Amino acid sequence: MSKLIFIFLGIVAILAIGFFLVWPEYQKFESLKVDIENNELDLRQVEDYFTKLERTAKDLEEYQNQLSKIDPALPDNSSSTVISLINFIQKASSQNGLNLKKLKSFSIISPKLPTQTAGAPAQPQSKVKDILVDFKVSGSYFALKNFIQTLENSAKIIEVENLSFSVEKEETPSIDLKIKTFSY
Amino acid sequence: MVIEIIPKKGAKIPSWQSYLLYFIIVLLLSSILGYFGLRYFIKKSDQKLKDLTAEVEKAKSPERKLLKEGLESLSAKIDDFAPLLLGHQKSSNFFNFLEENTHPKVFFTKLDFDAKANHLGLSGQTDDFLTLGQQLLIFRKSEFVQNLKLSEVKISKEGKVEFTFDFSLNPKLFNFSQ
Repeated sequence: MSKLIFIFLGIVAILAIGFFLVWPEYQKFESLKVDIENNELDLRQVEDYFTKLERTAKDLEEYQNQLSKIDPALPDNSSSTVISLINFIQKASSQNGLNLKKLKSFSIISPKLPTQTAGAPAQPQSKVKDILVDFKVSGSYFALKNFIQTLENSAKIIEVENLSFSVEKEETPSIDLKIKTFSY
Repeated sequence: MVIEIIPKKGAKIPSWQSYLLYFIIVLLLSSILGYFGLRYFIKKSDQKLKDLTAEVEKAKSPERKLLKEGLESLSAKIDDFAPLLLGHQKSSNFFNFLEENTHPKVFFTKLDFDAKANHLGLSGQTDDFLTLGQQLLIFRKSEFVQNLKLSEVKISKEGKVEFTFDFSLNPKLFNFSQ
């Protein structure tokens, strides 16, 4: 009879240990195993990602010459770009025989916010600002042509937006120019 | 009354009960051992997880983060720069076009060029209608002239023929290969 009691108590003890001690620990162990697997995957991905980045950076070193042209063409500071552009216009006009008569206006236009339609993925927004300078010069046709060519050959991307002139008899033509460049 | 001098044997316990008891004892010990075994592995796994987390953090070193930021900024700049470069126009081609397509006897007095709309307004004067007609033909033959319109044709006090041309310029004219 006493053996049966021990058997019964033993079964109860096994069930209690299994339910209250072993099972929760087992669950904890399983969850840790999953966390370890995830972290190992994370580590592999991070290592792969940075290895790729390091390889890309090394590859880009070969294109340093080409890449160095981007910064002057697309400078970081729009305010200093305006100042340097006006300075450049003044120098280039006098070098090409034009007379800078008047700086009519300049403006910095920030990029418009993209219109997002529902459900469509968000488009990365360009940070490029347009810098417009409106000015008046006077000089000959060929001086103007050379001046435009100087603008084209500069390290900046300069585009002619508007060009107008009129010749009044023997007077030196007065030329209105509106040019555009870009910055961040 | 019969006196029994040989003691009676006690009730015999079935052998399966003993086997079951031993089995239960083994199972009980195993579960206790299993519990401590699990705790040991949990401790080990916990340490491994901490080491891995530290390794992941170490892999994202400040130098690597700096490299990542630098490359991301360069990539954004290239993405922004590429369309600007592709859309960049060679405005001076416009002057070559004018030089190649102006009649020697035509004198342009006013020019209005809108690069955005690729629209050109040209006012000028010449000696006679024949020259004006030839100038019109020259423009019409040019592959870069579109929507040509001649207007405001009149004779000035000096007897010269005054006129205005309005037309659109083919964007190909401003390609760098031209």
